Amino acid sequence: MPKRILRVNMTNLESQFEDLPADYAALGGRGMTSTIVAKEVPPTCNPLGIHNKLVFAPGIVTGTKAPTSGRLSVGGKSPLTGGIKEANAGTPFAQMLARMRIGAIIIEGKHAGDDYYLLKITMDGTEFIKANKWVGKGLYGVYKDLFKEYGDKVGISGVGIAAELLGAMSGVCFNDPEGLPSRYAGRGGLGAVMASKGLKFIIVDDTGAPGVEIANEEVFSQGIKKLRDALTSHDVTKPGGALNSYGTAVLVNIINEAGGLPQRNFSSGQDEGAEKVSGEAKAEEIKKRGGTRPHFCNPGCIIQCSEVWVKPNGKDPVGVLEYESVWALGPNCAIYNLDDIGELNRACNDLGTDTIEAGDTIAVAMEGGLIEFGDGKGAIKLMDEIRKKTPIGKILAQGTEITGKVFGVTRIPTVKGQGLPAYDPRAIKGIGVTFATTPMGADHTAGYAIAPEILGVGGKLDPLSPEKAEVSRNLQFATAAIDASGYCLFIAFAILDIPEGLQGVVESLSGVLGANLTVDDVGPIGKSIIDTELEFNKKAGFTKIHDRLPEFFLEEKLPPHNTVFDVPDDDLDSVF
Amino acid sequence: MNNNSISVTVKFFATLRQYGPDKDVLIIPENSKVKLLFDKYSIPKEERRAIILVNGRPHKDLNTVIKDGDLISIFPPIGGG
Ligand code: SF4
Repeated sequence: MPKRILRVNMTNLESQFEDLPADYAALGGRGMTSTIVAKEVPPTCNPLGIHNKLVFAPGIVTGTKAPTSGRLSVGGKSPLTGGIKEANAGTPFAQMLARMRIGAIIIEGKHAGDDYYLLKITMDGTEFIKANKWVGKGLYGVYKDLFKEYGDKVGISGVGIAAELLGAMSGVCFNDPEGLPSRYAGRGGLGAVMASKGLKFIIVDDTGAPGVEIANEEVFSQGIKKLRDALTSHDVTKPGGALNSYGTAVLVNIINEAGGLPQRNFSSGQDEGAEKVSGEAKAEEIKKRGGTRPHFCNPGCIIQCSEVWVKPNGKDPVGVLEYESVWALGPNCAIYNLDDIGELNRACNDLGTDTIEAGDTIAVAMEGGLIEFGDGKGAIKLMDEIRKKTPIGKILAQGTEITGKVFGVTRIPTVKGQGLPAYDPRAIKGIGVTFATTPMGADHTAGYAIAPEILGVGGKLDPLSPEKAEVSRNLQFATAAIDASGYCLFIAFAILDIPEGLQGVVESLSGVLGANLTVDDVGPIGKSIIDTELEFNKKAGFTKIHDRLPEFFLEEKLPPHNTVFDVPDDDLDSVF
Repeated sequence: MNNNSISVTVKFFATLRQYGPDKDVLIIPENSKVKLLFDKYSIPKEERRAIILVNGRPHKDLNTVIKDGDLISIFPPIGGG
């Protein structure tokens, strides 16, 4: 059975499997979603209208034995940025699609009326089932129901209450291996795109799936061995290393020490309270409470940066509290209490919102006087406004920029409408170049300059130096290629330092595709994906003017280094 | 503190906390290098490929000379995102 595309028309509730076009054969993940979106979606369309499409695509090696590769991309035109979007998640759902030889699911059209549907995909075909009984309900309960109804072996993708409001902070939710609704293709409001079409859930059951076709087993096996060796030997990614022991939130302390952890809606880069919500503090609590750590977001991950956070009594699992989430819902709101952050993260997962956008939104709402900075309980109540679909909740659900404007805030940390992640660009300038220039809107994963600027991985650069155009560009190309591969971006820590690891990645891709790729192909593959995305954005109306950080980053000095973002506009324009 | 000693704040993080304190203020001889701190807390050889920040500036190493009042933050190799 060759690889297929599943095309789903929500207007008339029909779906069909198509052969994967020959020119899509070497695509996966972000390469697949961005190619399809650029080809099939009119760039000027309304993101929540009939012409937008939502595309799901597992990576090239996803579903194979390749380590740390259970990722998928979700793409479409973003209601948050108005540009092309790829959001990425690690989940068993990705591996199931790949094993069923589904290279992409394309959701198109728009169901008239108020009904919501569940799409079930098996090896026998598809089925549309009315999903109205789950409307207005939190996803923790709903995912439990769905696993009960469809069996605990299925994979689930879904959208929550925030998406029902067509909120631009809504994400597309996937289950983790415990069945928790905790793994998100969060950014850019793609949840609202799914809901706008009348689609609430996708359930996949890969029983009887043939598995991923591997053209050259020998090259593939040799490649994944090299990658495995790199991942298990590099200090960052190895078992018992910092990522494995503390999770991504191990970054809280180092970014805070470096003066780049935004506090109180980007008004300081450092605060003593950060230690209380650090990866170290969190890992200790998880151990005490009987949560799980380490853990993986998909079976087959060697790094295992994930975890299951629980309440003090050891009950009511939330899932992972990522660095970005801890920061957004914590220090960024001057909240230095892990239990409040855990409950806010639970609310995000339950309502189906991106944690970064939610945290940025709460912080501007605090600045706008809706509640006080540091009021964790108040923040949880704000999330309840979304649950109850009140007018305030509807405003909040639209994200940072709209909320900031409504409440008269001028310090609104967004690029292309998307809220900034957990690094202040005044203290760490390369990541600021990525925030400004990536076609995605402010996105740290798009070109993670923190690696060379702070962590000393892939080089050592002074974070306060403004000369960062080149490093951001190169990282953005490499990242786009990794996002297409199906590997988790965190393999980059190992392969940036260990050349055999990178060689292994390339061999594993060659093995699956029956191609003859070399390390030199990685940059150009990434570049071609980004070129496609930039072209879409240009046609959607984006210009260089949109590749800028908000003015306050250029005017307000950030303590403790008391620096501004001083990368010249010409440098930003030279990135692409 | 006599004329030839300086004060330094040192912080250890993550897996290095099994050797050194979360935070401590030390009086050390002038012109000491960061290596002295590793020796003082008997950090094993294989743990010395650390990330060292001095006053929030990264990429320092064992040979960096410590100045009076410096804050030295020491991390094992870490990553995340
Ligand atoms: S490293 Fe973490 S995020 Fe990446 S695949 Fe493994 S568990 Fe998931």
